[in-house]
Formats: sequence, C-alpha cells, structure tokens
Amino acid sequence: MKKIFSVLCAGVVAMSAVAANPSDLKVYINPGHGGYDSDDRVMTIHPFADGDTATFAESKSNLGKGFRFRELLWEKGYKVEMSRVKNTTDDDLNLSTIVALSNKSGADLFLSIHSNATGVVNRRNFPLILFRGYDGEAQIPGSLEWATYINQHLLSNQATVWTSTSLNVRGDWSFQPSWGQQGYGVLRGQTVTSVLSEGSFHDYIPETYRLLNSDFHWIEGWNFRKAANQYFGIEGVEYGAIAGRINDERVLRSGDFKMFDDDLYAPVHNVKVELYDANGAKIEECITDDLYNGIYAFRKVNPGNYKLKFVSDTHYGTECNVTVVADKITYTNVKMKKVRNTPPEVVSYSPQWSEGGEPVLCNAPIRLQFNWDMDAETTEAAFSITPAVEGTITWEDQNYCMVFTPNPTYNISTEYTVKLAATAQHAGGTPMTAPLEFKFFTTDRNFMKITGQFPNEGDKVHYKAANVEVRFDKIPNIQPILEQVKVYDSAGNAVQLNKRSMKYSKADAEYGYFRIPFSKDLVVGETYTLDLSKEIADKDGLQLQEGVVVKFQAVDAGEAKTNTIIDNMEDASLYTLYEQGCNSLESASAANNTANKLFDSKCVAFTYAFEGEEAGEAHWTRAAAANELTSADALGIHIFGDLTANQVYAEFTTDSDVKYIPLCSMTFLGWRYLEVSLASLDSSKTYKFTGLKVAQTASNMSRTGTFYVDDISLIVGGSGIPTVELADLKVYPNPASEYLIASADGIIDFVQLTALNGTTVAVAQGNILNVSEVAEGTYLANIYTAAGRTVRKVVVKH
Amino acid sequence: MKRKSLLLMTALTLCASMSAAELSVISTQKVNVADAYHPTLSPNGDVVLFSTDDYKGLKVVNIESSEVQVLDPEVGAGFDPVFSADGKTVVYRSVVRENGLMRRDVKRFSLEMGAGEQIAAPSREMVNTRAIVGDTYAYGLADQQAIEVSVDGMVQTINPIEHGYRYLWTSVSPSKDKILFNEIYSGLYVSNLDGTKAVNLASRADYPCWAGDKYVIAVKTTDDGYVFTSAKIIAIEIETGKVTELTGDDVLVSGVSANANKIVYTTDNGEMYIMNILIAE
Repeated sequence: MKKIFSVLCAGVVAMSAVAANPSDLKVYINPGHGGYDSDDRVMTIHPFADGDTATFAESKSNLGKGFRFRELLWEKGYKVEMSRVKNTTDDDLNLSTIVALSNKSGADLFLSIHSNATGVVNRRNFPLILFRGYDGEAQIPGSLEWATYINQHLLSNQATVWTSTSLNVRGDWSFQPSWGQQGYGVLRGQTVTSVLSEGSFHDYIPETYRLLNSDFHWIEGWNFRKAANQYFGIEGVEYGAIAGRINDERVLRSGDFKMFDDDLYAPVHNVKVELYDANGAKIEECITDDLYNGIYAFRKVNPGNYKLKFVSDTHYGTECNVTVVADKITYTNVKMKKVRNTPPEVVSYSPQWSEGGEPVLCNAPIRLQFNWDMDAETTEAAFSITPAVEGTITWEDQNYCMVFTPNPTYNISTEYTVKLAATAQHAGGTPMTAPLEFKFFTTDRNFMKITGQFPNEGDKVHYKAANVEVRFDKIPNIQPILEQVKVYDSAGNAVQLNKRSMKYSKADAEYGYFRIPFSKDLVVGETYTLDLSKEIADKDGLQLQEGVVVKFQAVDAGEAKTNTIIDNMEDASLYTLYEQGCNSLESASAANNTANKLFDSKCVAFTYAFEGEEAGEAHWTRAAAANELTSADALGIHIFGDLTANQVYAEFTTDSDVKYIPLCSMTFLGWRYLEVSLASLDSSKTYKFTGLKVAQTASNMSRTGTFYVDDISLIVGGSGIPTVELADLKVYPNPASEYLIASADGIIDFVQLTALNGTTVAVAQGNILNVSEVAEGTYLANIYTAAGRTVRKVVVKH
Repeated sequence: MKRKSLLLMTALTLCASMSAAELSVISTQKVNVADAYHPTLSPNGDVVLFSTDDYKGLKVVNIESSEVQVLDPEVGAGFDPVFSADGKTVVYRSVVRENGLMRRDVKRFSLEMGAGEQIAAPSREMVNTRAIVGDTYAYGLADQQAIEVSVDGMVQTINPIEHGYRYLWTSVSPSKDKILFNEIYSGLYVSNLDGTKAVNLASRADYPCWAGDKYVIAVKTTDDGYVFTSAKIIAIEIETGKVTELTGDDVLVSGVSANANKIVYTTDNGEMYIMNILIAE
C-alpha cells in the first residue's frame, strides 16, 4: 500500500504497461439518481413548466450520458453493465444495491455519472471528480488515476464554457468532512476501482441547456471512454469527430442568470451544419435544436480536411475549414451574424402625450422600441432631447429597446421634444428611413419634498421611546426605507431602528410619512446623526432633491425640577373644551393617558381634528389654578409634540384681561421641557393659568394630532432669564417674509418674536421661526440659548 | 452518524419484539471489536467473519471471547466469504489488479488448523465459492441475470421473475424448500426452489438472510442519491408479510447476518452487535 501511495504522490502515471484487450474489460456504469423522485435534481427552465419532465432532470441527463458512454464502450468491445436503463422510481436503486451489483459484476471500473449544483446565485462551471478517501489518498486502488483521467478529458470539452480548467479531483472524505468516513454511498464498500463524476454544473443555466442535448451527452461519453482507454492503455479509435457551439455574434443571451465568455451571446437555433470533404462532396449534415444551447456534432468522421457550412434562416451563412484527426474531437465554435433585412424603425415609444393631455411624470423614462436590435453607438448619437437634460441611456430586450432615464429629473411644467435622427442603424448597419420626433409636457413636481421631520438639526430628543418621523408631500415607497434611513452615535456606530414597529402612511392617507422607533432607549447626553438618503422616493420614483444629515442630542425631558407645580396633569377632567374659542374644529378631547406619562401616573392627552388644512383652533379651559403669575415669572411645561407644526398657547387670565402666550410650535415628536417667559404679561397685573389652546398652521399634515402635557410649573422670577450678547449670532434675513433664521456656535433652544410692547407673536423650538403669518412691522427677536437670551430688532415684510 | 447506547438499542429491540409475536429479541450485546463491517455469522453462531468498510482483509471474531483472528490482510478478501456447513472452513476471494484489470483468486482457510491456502489462482472469473463449500446454495449467474439453485447437489437454473433484470442476495432456506432473493428493481422475494410462487416481501431490502424458515431479516435503507439517510434492521414474517423494525432511527446499520437464533449486525461507525432471538414454532 505504501508503494501505491508514493506513486500517487509523485503524480498520476499510466496504469498499464501492457495494453489489455477491451473484450477482457468490464465497466460498470451508474447513471446517478433516477425516476424524477425527491432525490432527483430538477431545473425548471424556459420554455418548460413546473412538472414537465422535458425540462432538465439530473436523472434523465445522467442516463443520457450513460447511454452514450455505453455505446462508445461497446464500439471498442468493452463489456458494460448499467445499474439502470430507464428513468422510473423503480430504477432509483438503493446505493447499497448499486454497490452490491458493482461488486458482483466482476467489473474493472465503476463510474457513477452525475452533474453538480451549487444551489446559489454565484454559479460556475467546472468538473468535480470524487473518489473514496482523503485527497490524494484513494482507498480503492486505481481510483485516483481513473478520476484524474476523467477530469483531464472532460476539461478538453470546448463546446462548453469552463470557468476553471484546473484539475478538481477530490477524495470524498476531504470533500465532505462532515460525513466522516461514510463518504458517498455509491463509493462505499466498492471493491471495484470507482469514482463519481460531477461532470459540470447543471445549475449554471447555459450548461443546463447544453445538458438537454444528446450530442453534448455524447461528448461527455466520448471523454469518459478516452479516460477508460487511457486507464487500461487501450488504443484510441481510428476516426475523429467534430463538435462545437453556435452563438450569435452580438445578440446577447436573455435571462437573469450568471453567464461567462461566449455564453453571454445567444445560441442560434435550427442551424443546419453541413460537412463537406476535400472534394466538395457533402458527407453529412445536422441541425442544432431550439433549446438554447447551439450544440452540434459529427460523431464519426475519418481523419482529413473538411469544410463546415452553417446555414440558417435567421442568420447569414458562414463556413470554415477543419482538420479531423483520429481519436480526437475537433471543436469548432462559430458565431453567426443575424439577418436584418428591413430598415430599422421605432414601433412604439413612451411617454405618449398629446396637447392638453395629462402631464408626464418628471422622472418618466423615454423608451424607444425598435423592430430590430439596434446598433447602440449610432442610435445613441442620433438621440436628442430639448431642452437638454442630463440622463443615462440603457438597452433592453437584446438592444431592441433603448431607454433614456433623466438624471435626476426633467424640469417641472416644461415641454420637451425628443428626436431620433434617421442616422440610427440596426445591428446590421442599415439606417432608418425617416427620423422620429415627439413631444411631452411634464408635471409641476419633480422631487419628493420633506414637509416635516423629527429630529431636526440641533434638536434635543427625549431619550425614552424616541422615534424618527419624516413627513412628505407624497406617500413614500416604504420597502427600501430601512436602507435609506440611518442613525449613528457619536462614535459612528449604527443605532438600530425597530423596523417591526415602523408605521407609515396608508394608501389613502392625506400625506406621506413613516415613523420608526429606536430599538433601544437613547443615551442621555449622547449626540447622534440622522442620515436620510437622497434615494428616498415616492411611489412614482421621484426622489428627494438632496439627502438630509442632522445632528441631535438625547436628553431626559423628565429631569426633576424644583419649580412650583401649577398642574400635575393627573386630572384631565379639569380641562373643558371651550367651544366659543374654537374654530373649524371637527372634534377634540382631553383625556388622561398612562402610556405616555412622564411623571406620577398620568398625563393629559389633547386630541383634535380640524375641519380643513388651515385656521383651525381648539381651546381647552380649566378653572383658574391657585398659583398667581406675573410678568416677572416663567412657565415650565412638559409637552409631547405631535409634529404637526401647530402652535400651542397657554392662557392666563385676570379679572379683566386674557393673555395667550405661545409655548411652542409642535415641530417635534415626543417629550420636551419648555420654560416660557411670561414677560409679555401686563406687568401691572397678576394672572392665573386657565387653559391651553392649539392653533393650526396651514398644511396638509396639521389637520389632526394629539399632544400630551405633564407637570406645568411656576418659575418665580423666571422671566429674568439673563440677557447675553452672542458675538457670533446672526439673525437673517432681515427683513424676513417666510422664515427668520438664527445661527450661532452653540445650540439655539428656541426663537421668540415679540411686538415692541412685549406681546409674543410667534415662537418656535430650534433656530427657525415661521413668520409668514406675522403681520408686517418691527419686532424683537428673542434668541434663547443655554447662556441666556439675546435680542435683535427685526422687520417682517411680505 | 449518531452514536447510540447499547441500553437504548436493547430497549428498542425488546419493545419491537413485543409486536412480533413469534420472533422475540431476548438480548442485545456489543461485540468488542472495532472497524467491523460486512458480518457473516457462522452456521452455529459462535464466530463472525468481518472486514473493513471497503472489504480490506478478512477477520473472524469469537462472540464469547471477542478474540479476533486475521485470516487474510489482502484487498477484497472480506467480500462475500462463505462458511462450510460445519462452520470449520471459510472460502473467499481476494482481489489482484494487474494492468488495471481486476483478478480474483480463491482461498480456503481452516479455522481449526488456523491456516489458509490458495485453491485457485487469480483469474477474471467470479468463481462460485458456495459451490466449493457445499452442494446447497443459490447463486447469481451471468451478470446476476439468473439464479443457479443447488439443493443436495440437484442443480437448476431459474429466472423466477418475469422480465427480471438482476438478482442479488440469493440464498436457500434452512429447510431447503425455498429460496430468498432480491430482484433489484422490484424487491425482495421468497419462492419455491424452481422459482414458482414467488412472493414479494418488500419493495426494497438489502442484505436479506434467513432467520429460521419463517422469518427473513434484512436492512431497510434510504438515501438521498449521495449518502445513506437511514438503515434499519427489519424482520419479515414470510407467511403474513408483517414487518417489524428491530432497530430504530438512532442506529445506521451497515450489514447484517443471521443464523442459529442469532442476528449479528454492524453499524455505520464499525461497531458490532449480537441480538439473541427466539422464534416460537
């Protein structure tokens, strides 16, 4: 045994010094699997349907290869036994039965014929030959040599496309280590020199089609015989053969599967291949099938010089000379040029639009469908669109369809003219007989717009049960959202969002949105980055014009305060809807809520629905709280915003006066603690807290909402927030008409706009204040930061 | 392959015996040998011939003492050895490869003398070793396409199944009035000696052997086309066709042999067990 091993390590050498007589030799053939059973491996490929046994089944393919191998062995005089000659369930013998048959047969060689499968998308094509034992250490004498010869000859097949031509001879114990020394059942217990051949990959789809072809089976059988002859030292046959594959020279093979090299090009069907001898006499002909493989073969040709002619109804004929030598397949792969016998023309196009018709989406691709496969270079050069638009051109349907996709979009409300000059040619080089021209008009919208978002830049977000919510002018395409919304901590680590709890717009919603909670509570004090991809798009595919990146900080909005509690919000019944103070209100309520409470056991949920998109007001009053407040004080309030951008006011009352002081614009989601100066109260009077009011900000997302309020408190002398001067503070534009923006190095808590008499007219969390509804005039902008309040005089002018 | 405890298997087989009224498993014991496959039990049930998984070498083990004796270390020597009727002699073949050709010699080993001899030089013939050790046997002929049946020297060649393709695992019953065989595509049969009245016992069953005249023991295997997925010992009552599993899913049986109220079987990982059985008459 040691001697045998040393020979194997030194390399595979011919087994036989003295050639045997084939009639003395016996080969046992086992076509693997059988009977379209559960252990068969079936590939349902076009044009076959599920359950159609005409599609690829490994049992059938293995049997076909086994038959061809047997015929070739018989021709040389070998004795042959096969474990099955049919393909039914009864023929699918137990592996142990096959081994017993082989051992009883008196055979010298055993071959189990299979094909391989990766079962994954990333498919390749190469042979794998297995013997019993560890790599390089065959348990059954001779099987390493037998396997190596098979592998070498299979690799000589040039009618296929190999992705690797390295020898791939493996011991089954090494190849399947999890099986231990059990190994492949058909090799186990063999006394005969045995191998299992996975000849090629039947789930590499071009190979799947080839394995449907009998000539391709014959090529594999030929190579098996070559290996057997080599193993025994038997002389080859006196004749040769010609085989090959026919593909189109430029039409690509269609199909969403892996392809390599010539497999990228479409096989040509029904090609008549004619074989002529040196005297010009036709000897033989064959025809390729219509199963997407292009395989042909002349299986028995005397050595000599020949001419091959390839004739097709769909392709221009071609021919080539070949030389046939004994005992060898001369591979002749050819590429044929498709016949295109009429000029090209556009048979259909889109977008279709007529004057006064529905405008076309600003991202609609332009599709030109031709009657022929087109030459990409001349066709793309002939294409133009006016006004000019950046875009990309792609080709579909094997160059029968050209697609122009604007990048990013067309202009809104614009008429475009598309032209295709007559210089566009099909792949055969013939130009069009006439140009094409058409027009279309675009809609008034070419980007998805964010209408509300939380968190915004610089927001302080309550750490517990926080959410990311973004609202849009159209319903977003939700499926890819989780890939398009990312949150990172300050170290750059991704923060997980709870996709299972994500909420988003229903199909009939008034506006588009999504809300995604964080998987875990945020870390108080940590700074986070929210990254909204530009790829976020609506159902029509219109994307954001730009991506959004904002930083926000996690805080504890429920941090303990030492203020004097005015209302702990444990009793919602104190708040009554004041109908005379309401406007355009459909419904409203005030109710205790335990799920979202911040302190004690409850908070109060204020729920409202306005009738329209503007001018709505809901007003709740309560019996005057006991605490007395003056303009020297401040109000502390915990409020859970609903991201409607609606304004919330607190009501303060004296016997003769009622004041409404803006608390916030609800451009946030979740709890927030506010301290609001009461400096705008009449300094000569003493007030009491008597209610809350929400006023609608005109938009399609402000119609309904719920905000929660917990502990309202009094900060005696709290209005005396120190006035500071921030050297780097900028407040702009001035005059302002839509928005007033404050910027400084530090985080700006909120901006409050007061009249010169001290009355607050607008307030907003963060650094941006909407002044579009503020009357023209001169005001004081109060910018609140951690350092205190900074005042700038500003003008509102519309 | 899962390893299993002897206790578990014993419990299972005893349980199985309760459902097969006439065949009872009295006990199961492990034989202290390793790397044991392809068992052949002697006629009186005292020793077992065995080999490696790939039939390299032929050994014999005494069931009581676990003493192992190597009869032949050669490649292929463990394939299909046969005992003489008195159990004292073993005849077998070993394999010789010359220029890629398989040749098999025939050897005889006397267990009493502890010595062996080559009785036929290597040849391309698959010599019928059963005919060497006795005059009662059933043997597959000519690529297993017919069965040669000999009882006390009366020889006949039969093809008991119409369109039968290949016959495997053929044997004559202890009372010499039936034969047992496997036709590879249609299953396991018992028939008269002349092949008449063939009764199908199972669609698939490997390594069938007699356990008395009323029972057949075999291994029911399944595979996925590449590897064995299960292999259990079954007992088939010939008269009723009733099948009883004698081993469970926890063991993958690699070979079985029966004689003298004993069943010997080997497992996927090379362990050997003896079942002592009782067949009520």
